[in-house]
Amino acid sequence: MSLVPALRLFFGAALAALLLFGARSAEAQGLTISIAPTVERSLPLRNQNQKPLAINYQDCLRDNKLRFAVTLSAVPDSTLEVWVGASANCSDEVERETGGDCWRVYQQTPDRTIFDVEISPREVIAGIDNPDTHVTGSGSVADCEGGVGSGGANTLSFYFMLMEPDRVVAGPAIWDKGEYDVQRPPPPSGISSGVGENRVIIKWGSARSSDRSGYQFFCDPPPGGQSAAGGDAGDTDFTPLQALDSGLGGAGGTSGAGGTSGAGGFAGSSGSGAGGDAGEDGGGEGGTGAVPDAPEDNPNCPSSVLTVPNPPAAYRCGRAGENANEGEASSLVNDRPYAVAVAAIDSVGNVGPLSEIVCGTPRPVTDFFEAYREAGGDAGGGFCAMGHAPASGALVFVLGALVMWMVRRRRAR
Amino acid sequence: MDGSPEARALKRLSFIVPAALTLAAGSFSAPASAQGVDEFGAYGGLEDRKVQESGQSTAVEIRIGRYVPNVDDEFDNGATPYEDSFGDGDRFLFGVEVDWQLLRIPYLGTLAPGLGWGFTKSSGDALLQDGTGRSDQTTSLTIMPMYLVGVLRADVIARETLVPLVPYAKLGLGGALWWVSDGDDTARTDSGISGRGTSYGYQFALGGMLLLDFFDPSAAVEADNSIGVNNSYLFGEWYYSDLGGFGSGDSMQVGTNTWMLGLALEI
Repeated sequence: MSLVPALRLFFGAALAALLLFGARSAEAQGLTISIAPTVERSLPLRNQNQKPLAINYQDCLRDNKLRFAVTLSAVPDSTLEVWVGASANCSDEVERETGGDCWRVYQQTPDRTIFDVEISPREVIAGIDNPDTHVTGSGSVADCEGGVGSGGANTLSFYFMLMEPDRVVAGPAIWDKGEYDVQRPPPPSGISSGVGENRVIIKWGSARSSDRSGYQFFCDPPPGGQSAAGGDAGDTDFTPLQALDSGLGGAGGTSGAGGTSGAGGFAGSSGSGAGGDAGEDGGGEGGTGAVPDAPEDNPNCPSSVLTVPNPPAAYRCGRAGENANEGEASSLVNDRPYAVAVAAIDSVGNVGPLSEIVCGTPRPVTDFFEAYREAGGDAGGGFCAMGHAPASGALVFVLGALVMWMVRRRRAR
Repeated sequence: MDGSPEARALKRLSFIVPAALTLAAGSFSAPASAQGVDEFGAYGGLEDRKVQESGQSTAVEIRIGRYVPNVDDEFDNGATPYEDSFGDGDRFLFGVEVDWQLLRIPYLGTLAPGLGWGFTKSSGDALLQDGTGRSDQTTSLTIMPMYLVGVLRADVIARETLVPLVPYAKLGLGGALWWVSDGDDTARTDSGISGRGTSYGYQFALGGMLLLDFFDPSAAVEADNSIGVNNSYLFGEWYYSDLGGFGSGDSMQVGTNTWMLGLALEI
């Protein structure tokens, strides 16, 4: 082999390498990343007034992921990383390093330019207290029990960046509308019950937290005259409470109450179908979390349901508003004793543990209208149900004449 | 001489001098007759409210008073469902009335058609059906009385004398929307009749108004000049309404016999 072809080969290879390097640099320089303004979740969204994109306790338990639509200008060789920080600028390397205030919640090499990125709420919650030691992918259901966040939602920013080991190649694209609060509101205190028809009137002394959006009542036996086995298998509306039921069913491992498996948890015990996939999530890690205390049994109205954490949705029997200090547990059966407890709901839909249990027995009552009719009164039936007596016709005539006179007088002017 | 230059000059002078004198007099007297309202109140004669009063066409009343409907009067059998349900305590009504003062009757006052609206609610714990006492379930009767009345206000006394009183009378047709709640929802009988309805009948009122302008005429003038309020009053009246449907029997007797107090403005 002569020297000239060897040199030619060397220079050719060098030139090719140079061109390739130059092309990669150019590509890196031109890469862009963007995220769609609309963020979705892997499970149905909560009501708008309960901050559907905020991460609450139930989201954490059910691993209700935040889903972002990401668009890249080209398929990169670098890694897409998502970093989260409360107030720090996570595009700053110092904040991402040990001792910084940002933690990584997602890391993957994209093979497409348009795709979805799902962020686990557990990853987000796990890093809040220890951002610099959080290992991506280590978030678990146990992190949900830490109770981070209180007094309403706390803000977070999500930084989407294409990264090479030491530098940001493209981005950040920032979503700064993240919020979290996984601290469940305490139940109200001073619960008492009163008698109503097909209902139990519940009163409470004071709320123990200002962060609340309402109250949820639970009754055992469940409302509607159904048996406990009735469950809410047909209930397709998602509510935070259902999430709580199913998620905690697994997490709490309360199947000892009669359920058949850890996956179903307490929901399984009632025969409810609400467990669903969240039950699987919880079941997979059942028993790892410190489930909040359940109330003690009330010997006057024993309940095997309300004395374990988080009874299933079938046992919900009423709601009350944010500033209420009383409400009605309704759709109950007269002359049947009930055990009733109250849970508070906070501004991001966290459903708190149950209050003490009170007893109540609905009884038939006579409201004013019934009393009036029983006394012999004939009125009622609707606003348009005026009688057909001559007097009614006379009244209509007089009013009509008056209106006509006024119209004529006005036209005459 | 009429056509002479002297005569023409004299004639011109006879115009100019009076005009100049008038102008001079006017300019001297202008400061004395300037009128207005400043931070110290009305001045320049405006403080006399009869001098410069704006047009008056409407009276507006805000009223409050005891309102216990005469529901139990509907029954000859001694039944007292209202008292049984709500007790015998006082209930109150808040209301408003607007009168269109179409006609001013000389040496008497104004005659106006008036429209009124009010709101009152009675509530209490429903009785247990077995008669052993009361439950904790609230039952309530809400009434929204409305009326169309003719209003005669004899303001001649207040306008022409130093006595700041305006007696008045009202007479007309009354009606009311009412509904009964069993706690959360509209009450219903077991047969499904809903606990709401309309009542109608007649009503009248007799009352007296105390003209507040009397106590601070300057402020009254200021109110007239700045926001067009001619007169303001405190009033009290005896109010009677019979909303039993002129005896038709299908109208809950939610009328009452009571007193009302309030504030009235004429604008």
